[in-house]
Amino acid sequence: MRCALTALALLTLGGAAAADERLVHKRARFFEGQEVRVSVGFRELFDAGQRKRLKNGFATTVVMRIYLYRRSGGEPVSFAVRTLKAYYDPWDEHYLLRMQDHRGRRSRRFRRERDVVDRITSLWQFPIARSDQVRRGEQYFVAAIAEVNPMDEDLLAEVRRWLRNPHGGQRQVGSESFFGSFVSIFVNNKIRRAERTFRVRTQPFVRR
Amino acid sequence: MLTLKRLVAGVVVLCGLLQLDAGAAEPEGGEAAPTYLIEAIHIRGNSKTKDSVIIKALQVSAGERLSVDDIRFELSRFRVLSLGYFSEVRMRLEKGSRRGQVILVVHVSERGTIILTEVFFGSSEATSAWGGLGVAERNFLGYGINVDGAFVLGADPEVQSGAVQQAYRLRVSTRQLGSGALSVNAGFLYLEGSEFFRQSGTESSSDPDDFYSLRYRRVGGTLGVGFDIARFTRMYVEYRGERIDSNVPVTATETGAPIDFGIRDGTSVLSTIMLGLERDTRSDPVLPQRGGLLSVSALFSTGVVGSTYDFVKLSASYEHFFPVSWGHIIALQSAGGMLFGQAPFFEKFFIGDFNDLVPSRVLGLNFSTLPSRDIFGTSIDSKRYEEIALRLGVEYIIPWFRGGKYAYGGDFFFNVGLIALTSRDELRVRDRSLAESIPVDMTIDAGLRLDTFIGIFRFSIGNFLGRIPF
Repeated sequence: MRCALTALALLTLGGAAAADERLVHKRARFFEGQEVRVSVGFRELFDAGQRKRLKNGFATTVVMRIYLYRRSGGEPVSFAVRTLKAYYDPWDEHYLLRMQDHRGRRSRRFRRERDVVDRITSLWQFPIARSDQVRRGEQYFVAAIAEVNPMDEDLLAEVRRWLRNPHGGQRQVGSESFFGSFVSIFVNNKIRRAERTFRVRTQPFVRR
Repeated sequence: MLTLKRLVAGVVVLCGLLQLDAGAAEPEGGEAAPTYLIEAIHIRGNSKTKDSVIIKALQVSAGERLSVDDIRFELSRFRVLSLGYFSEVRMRLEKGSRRGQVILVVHVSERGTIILTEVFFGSSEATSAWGGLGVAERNFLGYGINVDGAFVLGADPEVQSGAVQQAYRLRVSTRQLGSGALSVNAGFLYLEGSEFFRQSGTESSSDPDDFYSLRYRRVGGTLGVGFDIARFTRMYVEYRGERIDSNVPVTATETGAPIDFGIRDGTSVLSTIMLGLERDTRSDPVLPQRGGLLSVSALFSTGVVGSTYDFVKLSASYEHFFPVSWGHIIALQSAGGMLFGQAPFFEKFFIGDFNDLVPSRVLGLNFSTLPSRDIFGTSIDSKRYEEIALRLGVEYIIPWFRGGKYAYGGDFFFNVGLIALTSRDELRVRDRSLAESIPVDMTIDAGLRLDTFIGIFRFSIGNFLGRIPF
């Protein structure tokens, strides 16, 4: 019993410590005009493994959800989604970056990995709200959630379907062994909503 | 002239490069994702697993022209991972022999595939201890075949004429590969049992002295196939053949009524065909938050297929998971079945398989004399192996965490349900209304389910309460 409780505690602590979602405070620059714009970078989103995978020829997707909040609390003042997809072309040896947000769809090519990583791990003068949405003298901050290669619900459902009954046999009504089945031992830690999730919060700013 | 041409070409290339590094201008609406012809598929990193096993699991094949955005590439990675033989699967595209053609390289990291599948242990008034385990090799000889074995062994029971109970099971099965692909499974069972039948005492007594033990042996095997009939629905057909040996004594209870052992004296044959259907729309096979699991089966045993026993057993279960607004989950559960004809006792519905507070069977063996609690005073404590069973329950699930490195998720659960277990004769011959004649009991359970890197664990109060006599 003591062993079981110790194992349980270790598993739980290990699990909690390994959660791959972090909130990072970042210093951002805000620009005022007809729109309020923000520039902020978060290169930590891409570690060495992610950089290596950029060159595998498949799409690397980053989805950013960007919110503008009043510091005093409440619902977001504005919200935007930005999707970036980077592809490495093994024939032309360049990166193609496709971007989509409320301003439309664009694409650019880059020769260097560093340049494409810079683009997909930052917001550069990104419009987050119309100026009439932001009151003068009040404090606001920007919060963003960036996900690398998020999986959509259909894909998740399909993958989990494969894990349900690996032995091909049907469960018997009423039967259940003490330790249950071992259906998803090897795969569960690979099936996540996203390969990496990064939460960013900027310092507050005040519209002058 | 030639020199000038080269100079112009050089300037053009240089301008192109400069433009690229600065981020080349885009056509309106954005450029489409690259599309390539898959020239070949190369598998790397596998020393044990055959290439063909991995290639069969992929959702793409050589000769196809696909966009690098195609979801089948991502599905392929997970399909190979879900084989369970690899700790990592990486894919990349390399230049092919011609422009526009690529080689898909799948790099796998193999991992140990021998695992502990089940652990059994327990004790009861009738059997001081029993224990066993199950072990599986999920990738036998690298062909992707699952071979698993399990055994359980009990101490000499404290019941009259009882003997050591033991069971051994071996199963071989192929994985489901491809959409709608067939999976085949075969199994072998050797079991020496000592089932306990009441001969004296009150219905609520679990005193081993009140029971008589019937010794029997089962040796046989199964052969089955499974196949998809829809995206979430799978069908199964299984044949089972067993030789049963038993020396049925002529004995009676203290009231003089003969004990119905529910098995033929001497050697008999059990030969069955099972048709099953399963529809699984749950969001997760281990810790679901939404969706449902429907399981229906019909088991036929008849002399036409060489069986000594003529019966039909119908079983069904359904559970549905509903997320509630505050983040918890409610699951509604139902399970039940009916048996028509003369079946051996072990084919009937056993109280321990429906009531969480009574030890369930292990590899088909029952080690306990504990009856149901009979909370409502409906004589359900006299029911052990019956023809009609029903369980209705509700489970409240509190998700604890998700996404750990060693423990992938954990849920607390609290389960309460009603069970009914009876025979058709008892419902036919009665002196009360039908509703009052159905033996009903309440079952409760609470605990923690953990999905971890070494398997799925269920720590529950029912597991412990079920071993305590009352």
